[in-house]
Order: sequence, then structure tokens, then C-alpha cells
Amino acid sequence: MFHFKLALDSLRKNKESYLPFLLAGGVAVALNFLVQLLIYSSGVRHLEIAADIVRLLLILGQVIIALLSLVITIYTYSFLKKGKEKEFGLYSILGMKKSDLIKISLIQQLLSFSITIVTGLVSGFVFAKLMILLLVKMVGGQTFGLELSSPAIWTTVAFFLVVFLLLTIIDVFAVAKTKPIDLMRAKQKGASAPKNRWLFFLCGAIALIWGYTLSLTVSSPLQAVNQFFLAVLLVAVATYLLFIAASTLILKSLQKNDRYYYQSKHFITVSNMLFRMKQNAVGLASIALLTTMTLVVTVTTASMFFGKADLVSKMFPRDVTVSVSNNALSKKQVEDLVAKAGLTISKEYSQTTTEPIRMALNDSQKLVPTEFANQQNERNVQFMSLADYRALTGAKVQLTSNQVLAYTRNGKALNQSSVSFAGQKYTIKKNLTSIKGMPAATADTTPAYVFVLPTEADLHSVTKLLFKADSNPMQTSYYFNVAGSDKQQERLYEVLQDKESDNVTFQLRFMTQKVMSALYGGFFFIGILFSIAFILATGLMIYYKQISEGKADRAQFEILQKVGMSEHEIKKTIRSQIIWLFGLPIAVSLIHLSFAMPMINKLLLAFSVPLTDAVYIVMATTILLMVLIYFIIYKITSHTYFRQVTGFN
Amino acid sequence: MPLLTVDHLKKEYKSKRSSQKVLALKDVDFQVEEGEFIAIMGESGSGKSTLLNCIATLDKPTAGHILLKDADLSQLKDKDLAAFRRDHLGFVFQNFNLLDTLTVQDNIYLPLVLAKNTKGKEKKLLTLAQQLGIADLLHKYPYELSGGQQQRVAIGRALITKPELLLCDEPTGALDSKNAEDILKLFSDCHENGQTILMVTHSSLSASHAGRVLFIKDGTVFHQLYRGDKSDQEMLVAINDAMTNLLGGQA
Ligand SMILES: Nc1ncnc2c1ncn2[C@@H]1O[C@H](COP(=O)(O)OP(=O)(O)OP(=O)(O)O)[C@@H](O)[C@H]1O
Ligand SMILES: [Mg+2]
Repeated sequence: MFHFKLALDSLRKNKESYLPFLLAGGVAVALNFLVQLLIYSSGVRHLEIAADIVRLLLILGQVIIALLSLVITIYTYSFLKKGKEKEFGLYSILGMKKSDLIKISLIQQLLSFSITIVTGLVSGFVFAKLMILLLVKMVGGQTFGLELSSPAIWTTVAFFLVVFLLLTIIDVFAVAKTKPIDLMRAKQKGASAPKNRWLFFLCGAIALIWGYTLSLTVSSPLQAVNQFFLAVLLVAVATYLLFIAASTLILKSLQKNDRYYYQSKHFITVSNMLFRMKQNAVGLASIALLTTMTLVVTVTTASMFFGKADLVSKMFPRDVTVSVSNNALSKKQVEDLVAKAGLTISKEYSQTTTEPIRMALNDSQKLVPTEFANQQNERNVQFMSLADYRALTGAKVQLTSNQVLAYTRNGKALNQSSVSFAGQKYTIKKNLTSIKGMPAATADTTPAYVFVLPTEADLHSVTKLLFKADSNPMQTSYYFNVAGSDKQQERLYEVLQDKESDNVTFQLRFMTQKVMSALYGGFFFIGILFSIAFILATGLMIYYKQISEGKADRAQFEILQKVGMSEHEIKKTIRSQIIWLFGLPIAVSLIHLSFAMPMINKLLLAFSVPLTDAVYIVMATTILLMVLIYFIIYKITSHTYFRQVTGFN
Repeated sequence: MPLLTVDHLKKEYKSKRSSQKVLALKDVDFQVEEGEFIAIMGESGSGKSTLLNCIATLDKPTAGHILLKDADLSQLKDKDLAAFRRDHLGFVFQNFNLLDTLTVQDNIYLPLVLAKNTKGKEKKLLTLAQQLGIADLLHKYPYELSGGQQQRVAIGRALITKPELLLCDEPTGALDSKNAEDILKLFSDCHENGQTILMVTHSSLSASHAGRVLFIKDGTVFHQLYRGDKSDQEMLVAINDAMTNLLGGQA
């Protein structure tokens, strides 16, 4: 009881430094809890298409957030520790045993643990629910199932139990190792001048180059999914190491430059930054990472969301596509089915090609049928006759024998002048950028070719060699619009489903859109949730940093004022320091983002979102918004800081 | 013409909580000639620091005037105060007030950098460092120095601009007697080189190095003591006598 009272007393006395720590801890708990809730949510489980991949991405996100939480908690705790050690020094001079001190520290940890866990869990859940309410409207009527699940709670609690245990161990070490007089002095001892750390710098540079290279050289969507985590980890580690080492190196070299350093605008800023960077490198690196993460997540998910419309319109030249082989359905029968659903048909047309066949493309641009193509060289290939091509498009092209037209979707066009398949070499007369009436995108991401062959005879000889002998590989697709209610469209879906077989496949724009809304809406929701949480956490961290340093900086600016620095100059110095502290993480995160773009592109392709201009617009908007939010936080922070440091407004 | 004229100076502090006013200085009136070394003594709370802060333009008088040469400090605009301080005045404080983020050398350069007057700074530093005995410490940081060493650096910082007036508030207050003695020797040397010094102190030993001692009590200059041709020892005795007689033995 006695220990408890002392522990509580000390908490109360150090309220000013404890509150921000508890706040940071609470936010960390909330963030982790949020991710846990998502991982176990029915909303993610019920994502129809890519639930596993989303879960995987979420778990990767969780690892990173857990790392960040650990760093942030220990970092914010280090501010608090100094004051606490001094108090412990006093207690021990007053005759308290080390075991007593450890007991007090334990009680304090337990108290702060309970407070952060409770506030974090509650605020995390409430935040998530509020966000869902808000976002369900944007996402298009689909609600996102997210419920309080006990595994989510237990994982979060267990993780933070470990974190606080770590803090306690740090405390115990501090108490056990030092003499009371050292504990007393802990707060007075100024930070010593930073040293150059070449090893850190080297490791950081290597990790950064490695991470960037991974992103720049990623060649397929699958590889992107696989290497994403490694790249993120490398860049994260590099960011920490470089913030610690490179900042010192740069500032020290600036100090060596007399002409630059001994100017009133640089003198105080540079020397201050040198010391600040030592204390702040970890914090700034964390902020840079949070910012990068926000940008990457928003860009990815928003691109998916907005890319959806683009994808659907490319996949569907008309509302309905019905593909028929072996004459399983006639045009009349299709029209009857539509009529049965109570819909009316308009703008109908049809197209005849072979069924798609999986082939592998080799270096000399030769295509061979395969079951075992690897990711890199796998292609979906279809053939059609010139006559069918002309009928479909109305174009008046001529082809001499051994000439073909080539049309490529989901990838780069063929780059050599000839292509070989079915034992024959063809000259590519033209690489088509589109075939009128044919969908410009397909649901899967494998690059796909359509070759237009000169004559019906050519088509026969090719199909004979490439397709099974007993079936007719030709496929006719009917494209048409329908007019009617949603109910009737659903009815059409059921009617067509009854007819679906090896020979009949169909797609409805209406249904695809619905499924995609659910998938990408869910994604977008997760993205927004993450971003908002990140931005808030980041803002809080910067604010906290400035304010916790403001107190310490006050003495310094008082001295400067006495020695003859004018209010104006002081304001300028403070401003340039704060701008550095704000700007650096943003600049770094923008650089990270640009290097991450190739990998993000490939990741997006893994989810069938082609890279469109929309992605860049979304990216620019995200960055602008981010900078705006930062600017607001900056304004609030610098205002508070000015007041704190100088006493003038 | 005197270097510094303090003319019927009055300073009231308004307490933030109550409407009650604290009269720190009632009516202070004295003059300082160029090249003088003056000590200001008085009991705790008598307004010594207040007086110094007013002269230093760190605080505004409630009434009265302070003139440096013929410039009236109360006429200075707020935005010019800082420039005025660094161009005309030097400060030494009881707790040194060095910047921990600057090396000794850069701490001393600070006023020159602020005044954008860094030409020939190396030469000025070298002479000063030799004189102050800190030539070996120039590349260290303040937290690596002893109190005495830190105070020398602070004096270096105050003197590098060759100020017309050196203001010191308890410069030896945080030092042991040996270090205090060394610092006072330094002041005496500076004084011999023509530096005008105004020093606030509690200690009669410190004051005994001065050419004139002002005693402050009840917000006014209560008594003055001139050195004449007394030695330091005789001056100390005289100061102690004056304190016993005039102030009731306290300091
Ligand atoms: N900022 C302030 N606000 C209100 N009252 C003040 C302020 N500064 C000083 N005082 C009051 O003015 C009086 C003179 O204070 P001052 O600091 O000048 O004394 P001092 O002679 O320097 O004392 P010491 O020898 O202890 O340093 C004191 O009564 C003090 O309480
Ligand atoms: Mg005082």
C-alpha cells in the first residue's frame, strides 16, 4: 500500500510528462487494435475475391505497426525516464532500498499499462465503428462487418504486455546499475555532442539501395506481392539508420564550412539541429515511415477504388457478354433467355474467335502451348480470321499470306517484327492498340494476345495443331445492352447461370460491378482507416515532440535573447528549425514513395487494376491533402511552441 | 559626460494574482564614469537584479531614465533592443548561461555572429582566450567544463564585442572561493585595460576589488564607498564596516 501510494504520487507529480506518454501509448494500442479488428473481421473474411491476400497484407501491416509502436513507446518513455530516475535517486538518498524502487516502478508500469490498454481499446473500437458509419456511404451501400472479437483483444493486450514488460526491464536496469547520485543527476546531464557513425551510415545506405533496387527491378505482380514485405522492412531499417547517421554527417560538414556556418541565420539552427537530430532521429524516422505508409496505403487503395470503374468499362463494351462454343446456344436462344428475365435487348453485336489457349512466349518471340509456363512468359492467346475481324470492326485491312495483326491486352505489345506459333513464322503487319467491340481488359492479369490470321484455312491449320481434335475451338461472343430493373438483371443472372456449361460462359456488368464494389470498397475502407489513423498518430507524435522539447528549449532562447538575439531573429530561428523537423520526414517519405511506385504498380496489377492516369491524380491529391494536414499541425505546433519557448505570441 | 546615468529610476512589479504591487526600486540615482569598476551590494530582495535588468534593457523601468552616453534607453524601440544590447553591453550571469549545443569557441563567437560582424573573429578570440586562460578548451562543449571554466567562457562571450559596459550579476555566486578569486582577478585585469564594469554581488570579498561600492536598501542607493587609494584588504575592511553600520550586518 505504501509503495502504491508513492507510485501514484510520483505519477501525479510527473503528470506533465506522463500524459503525453500515456496518450502516445493509447494511440499505439488503438492502432494495433484496429488492425487486429480488421484481420479478424467478417468484412475481410467475406471479401469475395481476394480475402486471403488482403489478410496477408493486413498481417504485414500489423508487423510494421507493431514495430513502430514499440519504437514510439520506448522513445516517448525515454523522455519520462529522466525525471523518474531523478526522483528515484532522491528516494534512495532518503534511504529506500533498490527492491522498493523496483516495486514502485512495477506498480507504475502496471498503472500506465492499464490506462493505455483501456483507453486504447475503447478509442480504437469506437474510432473504427465511427469510420465505418462514415465510409459505408462512400463505398456504396455495402456495410463492412467489423465486430469486437476476443482474439483481436487478446493479441493486442499480449503485445502491449510485452512492450511494458520491456519498459519495466529498462527501469530495473537503470535502478540496479546506477548509484543514487547518478540517478539524481540523470536529468541535469546534458546530451553530449553526437559522433559520426559510419557503420550505421554504411548499413543504412546498403539497406536503402537494396530496398529501392527490389522495387525498381520487380518484374511481375506475384514477385511484387512476395517481395513487398522485404522491401518495406529494408527501407524501414534504412530510414532509422540513415536518420541517425546521415543527419549528423551532413550537419557536421555544414559546421566545417565557416562561410555558411557563421551566419546568424544558420549558426543556431545548425548547431541546434545537430543535438536535436541525435535525440530526434528515431522520432523523425518514425514520422517519415508513418507518412510513407500513409501515402502508399492511400495511393494503393484509392487507385483500386477509382480504377474499378475504369476496369469495368474496359471489361464490358456492353452490359452483357455471353460466349458460346460448339453452337451450344443460338443467337435466338440467347435473346429468348433475356426476354424470359423480362429485359429488352439493344445494341447487340457478336464476335467470333478461338477460345483462349495458354502459351509460353520465348525470347525469339515464339509461342508454344504449355501447362507449365512460369509467371514471366505465360500468355493467353486467341486467334480470329481476317473475315471475322472485318465483320466485327468494319475495317478494310488486307493481309497477305503469313501476315498477322496482333492485339495485346494487359501488357507490352510484341516488340519484334515477327511471331511464331503452330510451326509457322508470321510477319506482324500491325500491332493493334484496340479491336473495336472487343473488351480492352480481362478479369485476370496475364498478358493476352489476339492474332488475326489472313484466311479461314490458316485459322484451321493453327487450331488443328494447337487445340484438342475432338472439339470445335471456335467461340462466338454476343455483346448487348439490356434495359430493365435491378431485380430483372438478377433474374437474368440466374437464368444464364442455369445454362452455364463448358460451352457457355457469361458476364454481367451489373453483377461484376457489385462484386467489385464490395472488394475494392472494402479495400478503400481499410486504406482510409489506416491513413486517418496514421495521419493522426503522426500529427500527435510531432506535436508531442515539439512540446516536450519546448520546455527544454526555453532556457536556451532566454539566453539567446539576453545575449542580443532579437525577437524577430528568434522567431526566424525557431521557424526554420520546425520547418526542418516537419519538412524532412515529408521529403523523405516522398522520395520513398517515388521509389516504391514501380512496386505499387505491380501490386495493383496483382489486383487487376491497370495503372491509369487516375492513379497519379489520386496520388497528387493524397500528397496535397497530407501536406495540408501537416501544415495545420505545423501551425498549431509552432504556435504552442513559440508561446512555450519565448512567452510571446 | 558619464558613461551611464541612472536618473530617479523606479520599478514596480504587478503581481499577476493580486492587484498588489511590489516596489522593487523606489528612487535610484547614480552615475558611472568611463573606466570605473563598480560593485552593487544589498541584501537579498533589495532590487539589485532588477536594477541590472533595467540597465540591460531586459526590463522596463516604471519611471525615471537610464542613459548610456546620451542615448535614453527608454526611447529605444522594442525591435532595436536586442541590437542595442549586443552592440553596447556585455553580460555575465551567475549561472553562466552558456549554450550547451555550441562549443566553447562558438559560444564566444555567438554575439559576433548575431551582429553579423565575424571578420577577424579568430584573432579576437585568440587574444581573449589567452587572457582568460581557456585557449586549450576552445573545442570542448560547456558541459565538459568546470564552473570556473564556464564562467571564463561566459566572460569571453561578454567581452568579445568590446562592450562599453560589462554587466555582471553575481558572477562568482556559483563558484568556490578559489575560482571566485581567479574570476575577480580577471575583472580587475579587464578594468585595468579600461573596461567599465558594473557588478552585483553579495560578497564583500568580491566587492573589495571594485573602485566604488554602491549599497542598495529600501529601493534607493543608501550609501557609497570609494576605494580612494585603499588596498583590496583595506577596502574589504571598509566594506564590512559599512555593512555592519549601515545595513545591520547583513549581506
Ligand atoms: N518578475 C517579477 N515579478 C514580480 N516581482 C518581482 C519580479 N522580479 C523581482 N521581483 C521582486 O522585486 C524585488 C527585488 O528583486 P531582485 O531580484 O531585484 O532582488 P535581488 O536584490 O537581486 O535579490 P537577490 O540578492 O536574492 O538576487 C523582490 O521583492 C522580488 O520579489
Ligand atoms: Mg538577484
